Amino acid sequence: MWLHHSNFGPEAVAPGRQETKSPVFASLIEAMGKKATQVVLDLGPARPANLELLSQFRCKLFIEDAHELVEGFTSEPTADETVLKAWLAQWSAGIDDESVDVLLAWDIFNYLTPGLCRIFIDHVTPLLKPGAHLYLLVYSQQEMPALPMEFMTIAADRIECRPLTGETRRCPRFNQTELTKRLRNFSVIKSVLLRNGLQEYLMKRSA
Amino acid sequence: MFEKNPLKRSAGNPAESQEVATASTPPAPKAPSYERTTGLATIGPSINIKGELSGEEDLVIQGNVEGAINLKHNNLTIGKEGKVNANIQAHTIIVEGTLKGDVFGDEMVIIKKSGNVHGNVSAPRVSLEDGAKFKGSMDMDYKGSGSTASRNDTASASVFKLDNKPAHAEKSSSKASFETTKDAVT
Repeated sequence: MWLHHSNFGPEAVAPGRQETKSPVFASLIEAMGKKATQVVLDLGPARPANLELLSQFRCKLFIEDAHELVEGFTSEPTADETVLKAWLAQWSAGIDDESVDVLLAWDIFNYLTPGLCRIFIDHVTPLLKPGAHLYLLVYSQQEMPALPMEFMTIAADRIECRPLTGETRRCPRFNQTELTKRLRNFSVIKSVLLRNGLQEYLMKRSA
Repeated sequence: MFEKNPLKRSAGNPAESQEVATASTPPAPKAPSYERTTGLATIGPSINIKGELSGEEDLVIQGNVEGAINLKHNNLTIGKEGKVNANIQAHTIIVEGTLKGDVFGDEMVIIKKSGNVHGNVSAPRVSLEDGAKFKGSMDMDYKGSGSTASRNDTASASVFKLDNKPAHAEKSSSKASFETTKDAVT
């Protein structure tokens, strides 16, 4: 595992949008290129750019957009647990146990309390192959967008971050120790803090 | 200097030839608009169908269809007004409306920006426009169901950027894929 601060700064693309280097995502794509076929579970919305990038691989892509999940949260723990369980229950029945090679979680974990995170991890871990990769982004600033952002791959090592709303909320700002505590059974293999305040993580499911 | 035959003069322009023809014949009964514009078999917006649909010609759905659709060697378009709740097998499938079900495209599945798909898509090539809504899975390793599959694999590799690699390229595909990516970035 190694950790460093990136020197790559965000570049203005359009109001509210940022284009940034994504060295950890590039490592994931490199790792994906070493296997013939991949099963990818994407928790972001279906976007042509991401599909185009993933189309390079003989790939089965599951898309379970978590935006509607976060929009359904009320900040009331019991109600939010119900919302999360209902969302997980209507995932595609076609995802077999231990079949997924890559989980693209983007910034979703920032919106899950430790309790919700546990429910989510208990549901998703059995679907992942031992050694499967988990890619996620953690906000490190005081505030973060009120809803998860959309992330579009521009190239293997560049992503565009698109906020869906101008509203912000307090950011949980969990560090790596807290992250590994929340995501038990996963270990960090690479992490980079980007200048726009997002920290990229590439994690691996332990055997 | 002047053309003697007005029909001959307008032969290269369909709009003009239509104008000339209608001027010399009695007006025909008004046909439904979809027939005039597309000439394709069309299920209109007011039609509801429940059951199994199969055929050997291209089809446009603007109405509601529930059940199963099998157009193995032909193309299916779900128009903007179309609402389909069915499993579909066709050569190429274009979705501009709403679709719930599993989709098998022997050649390609195209989800337009107005399209809303909830289901599993299997096709050698999948195209998604920005703004399209999708929930489910996309199997981009699908070879197609019939004899067209091998033809598609070979032909598509050199034509379209999003294509799957042909079977003969599989041995070196992992390394080659990443090198292509690096080249594109730099």
